[in-house]
Amino acid sequence: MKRWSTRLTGAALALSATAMIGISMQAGAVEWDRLRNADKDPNNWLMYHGSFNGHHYSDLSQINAQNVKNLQVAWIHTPGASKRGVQSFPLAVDGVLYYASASGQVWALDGASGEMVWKYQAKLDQDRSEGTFYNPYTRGLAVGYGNVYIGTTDGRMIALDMKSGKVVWDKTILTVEGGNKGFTGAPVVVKGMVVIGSNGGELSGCCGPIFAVDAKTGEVRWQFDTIGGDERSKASWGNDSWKTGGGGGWMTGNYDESTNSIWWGTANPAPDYDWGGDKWKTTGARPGDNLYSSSVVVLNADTGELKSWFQEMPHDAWDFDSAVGEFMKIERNGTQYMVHPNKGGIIFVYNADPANAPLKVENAYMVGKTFNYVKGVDPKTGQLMGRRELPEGKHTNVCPAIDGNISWNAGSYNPNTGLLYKVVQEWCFDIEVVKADAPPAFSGQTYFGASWTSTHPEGRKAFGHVSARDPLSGKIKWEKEYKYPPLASLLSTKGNVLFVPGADGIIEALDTRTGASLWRHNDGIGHHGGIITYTAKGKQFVAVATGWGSHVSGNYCPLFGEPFCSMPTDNGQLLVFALP
Amino acid sequence: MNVFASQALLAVAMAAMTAGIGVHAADEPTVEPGAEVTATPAPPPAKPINVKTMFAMNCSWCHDGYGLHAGKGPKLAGTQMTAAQVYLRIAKGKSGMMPGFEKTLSKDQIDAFVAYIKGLKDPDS
Ligand code: HEC
Repeated sequence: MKRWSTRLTGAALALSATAMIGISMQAGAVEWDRLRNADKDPNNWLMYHGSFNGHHYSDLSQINAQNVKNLQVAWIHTPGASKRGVQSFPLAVDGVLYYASASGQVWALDGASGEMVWKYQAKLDQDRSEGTFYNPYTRGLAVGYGNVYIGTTDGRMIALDMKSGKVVWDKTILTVEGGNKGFTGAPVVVKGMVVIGSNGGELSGCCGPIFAVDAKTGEVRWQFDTIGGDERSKASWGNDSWKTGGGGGWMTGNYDESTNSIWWGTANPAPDYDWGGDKWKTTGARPGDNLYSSSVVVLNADTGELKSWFQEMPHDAWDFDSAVGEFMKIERNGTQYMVHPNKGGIIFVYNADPANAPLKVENAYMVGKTFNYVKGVDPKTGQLMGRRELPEGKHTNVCPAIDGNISWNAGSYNPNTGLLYKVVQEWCFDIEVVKADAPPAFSGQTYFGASWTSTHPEGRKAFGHVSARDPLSGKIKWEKEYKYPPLASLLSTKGNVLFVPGADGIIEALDTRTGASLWRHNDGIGHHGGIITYTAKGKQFVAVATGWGSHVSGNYCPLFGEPFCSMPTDNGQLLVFALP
Repeated sequence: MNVFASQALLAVAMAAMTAGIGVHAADEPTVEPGAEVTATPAPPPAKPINVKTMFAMNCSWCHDGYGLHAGKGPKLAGTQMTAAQVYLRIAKGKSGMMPGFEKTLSKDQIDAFVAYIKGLKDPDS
């Protein structure tokens, strides 16, 4: 532990409760130094992506390929009704676990026993909070400077005192007038600021912003508009269509200290599906490339200014945005790479130097098997090859469906094996694209132009797979097929274990080197949230969020039938495993 | 808009039901949703309600195939709900599952949805 906070210690002594004293006395402040070195601190899980490497990997090895078969439930926490399941990533700081469940609930629990330290319930504007379809889930928290941070579905950012759960500040960042967007993604703390992106790719409001707020006060330090924020962007939306253009940055990006840059993926443009078809450069609902939607943007962390970008899906015709997915920093032979997957099932390998504008693509490869929305991607330029446009009218067997080959669940990169583990989902849809009426500019109304039905890929049932590849070349080392595509994030460890929380409720441990199954446990309900590992009282624990009901999971009943048709969608737990 | 529109739509829906138009094809709504329904005579000039476009814009994220198939939300064709219940569900939504539309859709638009949904023939029965 780096530092003792007098405030913390004083408050801890004032507590009369039993277990709480031990916890509070251990809790160290999470200052910037600790966060930037999170990769060297495997006892804790200090941010959504684990560390600024973004690897979703842990150096812990108490639990390993030899003994993982003995893993058992150490404790369970039930948050009560959690609409659309528990989708969030827990964080672990000095023996205390923090996690969020739906509708703005935050929990602090003893990491070893699960005993409650505190609970916070945000009072949400229900109308707003449940008025769009991105609700009421939350995908995680950030910690730093003595606070726990959460973004809410009604557009606020809230800082809670880490020790007491009391509100330190509570600020409205996004308004109805400003496009009716909200926050579902986890924030990330960067250099005294809390950075978060809004949802709203399908809402007719500009400007899909990404914010940095002051970690101590909640004042907005900078805002980056993913659409309409600069002339280059405006010029790429014919007829001023950026004003109804959606955008957003709904998942958590990353920070690269070596260039002082924020890396963030952005959402699709609105309307979702554009009747313009292959004449999209000049006609349709949003003629042009629609910058910086479905792109990666690299921002100056201090100012939010755009340093570089790459549009992975120019004029995204499929809702295969880049907001999903992690930014994994990988160094090889002296070159720094940033590896980033998107919904279209493309993994982009960028040169991490943002002096290249747009970003330099070092490689790009497809990980889907059944896709037909493009013929492929040019590995040298990252440009899509052989696009299948979806003009007004009916289109059958479009693969993948709107849900993508890759969803928002994170993969894992294991520096010991040198392999990237990633889930891919394979199903398709029949879609009819219609000419939607544009809602008023900036109105925040839904802007969609299609109806569809999910289908199986031609000649076989929908399925999923987890692959282990060289992250830079994409070369496969091993691959395991899943009857039901997993929708949760992965975790790999130095103990050569890869955890795969499954859709049907089975969490499985695989050998990182071979993919061999080492352990299985039925958690009783599907998973589509986070998974972490940490230590408490010297012992290694694995914590996984359970619960079903995300939008993507909604396909499973029509595609697979049971157990998904009977799976509750207003439930979920935090399950924590340890060796006996 | 006005009551004539929804009445007219209802009439179209009923006619389609009795005539069995399009009911054989599982991927085709019973009521041709592209049919623009304008009331004649239409007292105040208003934009015609196009249920198909409205559905694509507001409901398709969750209800597949214009309501004929289960998707993230249930199949709407063959709903056990009464027209009044359907109206309420669309207006108010259901917490944690479906947003309410009373702020973004007019009463006539919701009425048109009700008529459309109640007029859908269940492709699986
Ligand atoms: C965000 C997803 C979502 C959107 C958007 C949505 N719905 Fe729903 N809808 C649902 C879900 C989920 C249910 C099931 C609720 C339950 O289990 O009671 C539902 C239920 C319904 C029902 C009741 C069906 C029955 O028999 O129980 C109707 C009617 C309905 N929706 C109509 C609509 C219409 C019309 C629209 C567009 C204006 C719409 N919905 C938009 C998710 C959605």
